[in-house]
Amino acid sequence: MKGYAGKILFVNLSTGEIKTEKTEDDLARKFLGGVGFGAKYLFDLCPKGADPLGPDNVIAVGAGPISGTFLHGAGRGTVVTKSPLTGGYMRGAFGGDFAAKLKYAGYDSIIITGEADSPKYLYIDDDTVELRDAGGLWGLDTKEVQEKIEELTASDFSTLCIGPGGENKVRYACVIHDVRACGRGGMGAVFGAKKLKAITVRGSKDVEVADLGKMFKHYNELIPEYETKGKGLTDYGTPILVNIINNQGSLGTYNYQKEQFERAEEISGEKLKAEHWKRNDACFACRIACTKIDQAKSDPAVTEGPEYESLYSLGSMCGVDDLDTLIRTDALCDELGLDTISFGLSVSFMMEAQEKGLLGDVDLSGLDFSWGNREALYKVCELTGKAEGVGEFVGLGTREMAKKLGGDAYKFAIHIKGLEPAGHSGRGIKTMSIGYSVSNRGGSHHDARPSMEYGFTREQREDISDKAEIAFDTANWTTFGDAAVICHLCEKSTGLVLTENYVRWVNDTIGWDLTLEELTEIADRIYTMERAFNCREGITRKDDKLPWRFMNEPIPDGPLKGMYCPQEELDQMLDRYYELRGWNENGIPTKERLEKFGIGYVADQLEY
Amino acid sequence: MKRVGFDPEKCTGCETCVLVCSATHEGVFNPKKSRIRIWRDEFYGKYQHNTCRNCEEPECVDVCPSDEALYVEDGEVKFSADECLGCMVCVDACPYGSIFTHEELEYVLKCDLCDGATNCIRYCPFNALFLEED
Repeated sequence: MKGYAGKILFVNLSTGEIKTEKTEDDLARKFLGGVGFGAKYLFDLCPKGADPLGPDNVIAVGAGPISGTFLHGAGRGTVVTKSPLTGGYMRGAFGGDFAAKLKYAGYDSIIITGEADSPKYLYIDDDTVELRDAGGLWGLDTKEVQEKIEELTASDFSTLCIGPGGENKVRYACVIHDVRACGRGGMGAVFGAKKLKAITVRGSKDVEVADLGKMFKHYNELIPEYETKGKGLTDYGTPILVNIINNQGSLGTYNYQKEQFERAEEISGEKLKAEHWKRNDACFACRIACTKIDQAKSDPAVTEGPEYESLYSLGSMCGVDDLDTLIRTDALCDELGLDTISFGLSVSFMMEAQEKGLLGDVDLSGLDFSWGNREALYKVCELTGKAEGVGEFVGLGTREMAKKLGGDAYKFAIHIKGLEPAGHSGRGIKTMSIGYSVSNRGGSHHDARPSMEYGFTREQREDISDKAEIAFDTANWTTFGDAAVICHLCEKSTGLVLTENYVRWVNDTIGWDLTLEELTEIADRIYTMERAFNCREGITRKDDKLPWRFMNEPIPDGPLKGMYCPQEELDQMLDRYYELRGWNENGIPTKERLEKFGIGYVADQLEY
Repeated sequence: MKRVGFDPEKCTGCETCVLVCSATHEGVFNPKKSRIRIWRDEFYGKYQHNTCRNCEEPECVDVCPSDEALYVEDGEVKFSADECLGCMVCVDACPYGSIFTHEELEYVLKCDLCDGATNCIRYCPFNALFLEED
């Protein structure tokens, strides 16, 4: 079994015990790696009802069989844990080279349990693994801590860390490696609760693949695909989507009161490139280089991003039309370790709540939450990272804030299962209506993908007969991607759904003889394992829904005017989706399907 | 002399060159077994590279005890891993630190321009690497 490092590292923060176990063939064949291993270990080791911010929660940091090779984005890593924001399963992936180094150090995954009694960082240098004192690192932002760890170790270490947001257990605190975020669902808070400030790693071992000759052949064949179909991302990065999506009429604006932003041009990828772009950067083993190093005019410091998602969440959603503010706030989110999507949508929720006069006796720390208030956006970001003043409230996320405000606030709380959605409309893109609602994470755009539907006519968009299938197929691709582990942004070049390209990558790497059907089954198994974790927690069909606004208020104007996703439409898509997955009418994986997947023991822990 | 030239304005730090180098020479993916290295000194900083410059008066050749491991031919400092004795004296002699070692290997890691194939240049996605001749 080539590709694998062959060992899984177990770290118990409560006892300080560090051990390794062999990466078993059966585990690999069933769950591949990355989030696959994460889903399996989280289900097995994190007991039902565990407090996400308590010692019983588990963090699985993953590489995959492809990590460390030169295939697309093979430096990408994953984190799986129970989310403090949603109370359910959470997975995330991040660019850079951390996971490649984890493989070179000799590990396929790190499984972290327990809770340290004082701040620690995990030091991995090949076979030397130590929990080191992080007392002197606590309080540092994500940039500072990475620089400090480099001083304490050597320049060839790569670090995954949290900032003050994670230390303060902000429910949507993220984890940062280099200039890249593992953004969603509050993983940083889980690190913070465990007093784990960072993981730093370097390695000197080989990643061997089964058939290097074939891998080069297949790689060579795809180079023209990256150069042509990846060009938009190379030239502009994800911000190229601002104008495209706005013109299609599905750019979330003013907390989804609208889906077209009248000043979209001001926050567009084209303007960002023309006025702020310094140069391109790439993750390890990437031929696209979508990372853009940008600079605010009012600030000499350069930064990575903002990505499209942040231009949407901090920009159009809050009505902020100033790129300088967006660049600075995006950078601040990264330094504090906050998810820009959840933070931006929490602020847009506050803005609508103020507009509607619903903020009551919430202490606003003297800030005015009017639409488009640039200064307030930046200030509340600082306060949220510190969990101070109004920041403590904003840091709860939209679901909890709406609960606290009561009344009709739920009608404009934009979240799915507690996770604020990315900038791909759950009203105008039916793949995302079904995709978000069934997502194990909630409002993630990296389960089901919107990419295919962006090429659809309005008529095709309104036809729900194929959307469950598209959501199923695209979620299988992304799940495979996060298990392999590779980047999803090669999808235009290599396949928007699972294709023979991906089958070849796996077989060339590991030496298996998988068919496309078998690869699909691996992805399906992982997704169902994730689902089972949620079902055990009581998260089922009743939670597979969209924000009230998406299900009750049609898009008010623009090319997609009138589109939304009423309950009966969602129900039709859910029924079909459950059928494809082998889940029962309540959205719970059936015993038969779990047995077919070779994980029948899971059924014993589910209530039918 | 020929060498692998580098344009820091074009390098994105993807390290495809590093990976292709170790894969084609050593048959594995391992940046620590590559003969070209890419790094940056600070956040958001530009990348730098290090690989053999094929010096006009190569000190590595002067100190190498073997005539067949390191030698000058056709305007290049040629290197044969098969003939390398693994004494590592060239590593210290190189004024640029461009000859690397790996504890598992009994020979040093020095760019041989892939006998003309220059795979790092061929695979660089953004032409940050190029063949330089003077």
